[in-house]
Amino acid sequence: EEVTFSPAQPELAAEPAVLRACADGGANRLYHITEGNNESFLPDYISGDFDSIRPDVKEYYKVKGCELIETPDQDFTDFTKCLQILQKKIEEKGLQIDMIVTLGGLGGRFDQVMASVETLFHATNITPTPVIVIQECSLIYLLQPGKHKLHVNTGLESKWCGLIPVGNPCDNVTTTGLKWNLTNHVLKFGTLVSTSNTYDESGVVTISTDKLLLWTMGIKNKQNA
Amino acid sequence: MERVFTPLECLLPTGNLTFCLLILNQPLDKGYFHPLWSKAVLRACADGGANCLYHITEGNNESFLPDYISGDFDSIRPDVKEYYKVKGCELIETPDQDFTDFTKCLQILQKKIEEKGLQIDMIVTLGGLGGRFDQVMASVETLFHATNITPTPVIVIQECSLIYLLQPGKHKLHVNTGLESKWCGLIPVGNPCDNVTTTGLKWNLTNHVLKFGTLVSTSNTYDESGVVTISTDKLLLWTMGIKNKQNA
Repeated sequence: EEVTFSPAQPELAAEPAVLRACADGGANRLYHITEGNNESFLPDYISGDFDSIRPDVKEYYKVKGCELIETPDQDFTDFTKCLQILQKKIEEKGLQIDMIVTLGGLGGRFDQVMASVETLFHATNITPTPVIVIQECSLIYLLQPGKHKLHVNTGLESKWCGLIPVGNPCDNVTTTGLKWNLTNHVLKFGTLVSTSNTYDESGVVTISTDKLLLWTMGIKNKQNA
Repeated sequence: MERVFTPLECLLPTGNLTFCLLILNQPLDKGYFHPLWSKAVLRACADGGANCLYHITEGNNESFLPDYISGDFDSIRPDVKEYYKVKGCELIETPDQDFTDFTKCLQILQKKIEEKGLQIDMIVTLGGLGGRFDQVMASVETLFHATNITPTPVIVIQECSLIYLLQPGKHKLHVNTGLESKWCGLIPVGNPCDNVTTTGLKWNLTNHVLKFGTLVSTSNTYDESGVVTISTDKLLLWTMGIKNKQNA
């Protein structure tokens, strides 16, 4: 069974997000970017251990009626816990969701970037919905073992892409649609990692992998899109 | 045999550490660029790293000339390339597309270390941990290849993060320079580690598995000992935070 996907699709979506959440300090970012009009950008909930959210920001959203869910468990990151809550709400509301889009997680502290990748590994057990992570010009998406078809012709793709065997070697990877394709190839740190790859003209990339494999791609700067 | 190491020793204003400096194509941190540059015995730029060097030394470029600039030269600005060429810096074009500019720069560095008969304790790389996600992963991949390129430990630093690839075996890291920030982690990039034991961390491991999807040690921190020991059966990436220079 082949999974078909347009990673850059949410940017084109005519419909707004159906559920919006912040993980801890993500609320600070939301508050900042919506300054002057905070009221029009209220998340459905804010979850986390609340060691990053500013007290005034927390108070603001609390007063406005946003749900605040404290998740003190130190065994999981705020991102993972936020995802668990999201899936619960999706089920409670009986929503049909195509994708979960995460903003942030790919910059700053290196350990936290790796923690974002780790959350994608756990996401498989949390939700059946594909989870993508976007920050600045990068997107990451964890491919399950099997066949995948990615549509990369939204016009929002920048030139680069890659396949990163982050947690484990992949013994059998085959691709089409890339400039440097693989045919039953091994991807493994210390042997071969596909970075600075790019697309052919087809607008479609297919990937067949025997193990979990991280897809990464560039997003055009909004000014250039 | 235990490998003993002080990851942030290169940032200390004093000391006997002999190291080389390699500059990649990412914004340079003013906080520690100058101390690193002044103490390095060999200094190189990988392609667009030369742009970053040129920018951060603006007004005094002449006093900060790298020993060489290598790469496929698709990132270096033509005016920057010309400036350093005129000033006598060696420009080494490495068009091979199978390896990144970072990897190739490291190969050249090792060659020069050997030619000059230098005893080098560490290779310090600035940049490589920010920007495009694929390029961050490519930096990690270069650390895997570094084992076959040079016997010298290679660290990568950008902003507040450092990464260093631990070989299988035992390691003792001194983390008491005063420049360490609170966080650290052990990341099984590339392969699971089946048997990891640590001391000196807040959340230690005892013969534990580290594996993406099972357990990855992030947001860890130190106990008061100032020393972290790590024993690992496979290659394992150590990462830690560096204090902002103003707060150091």
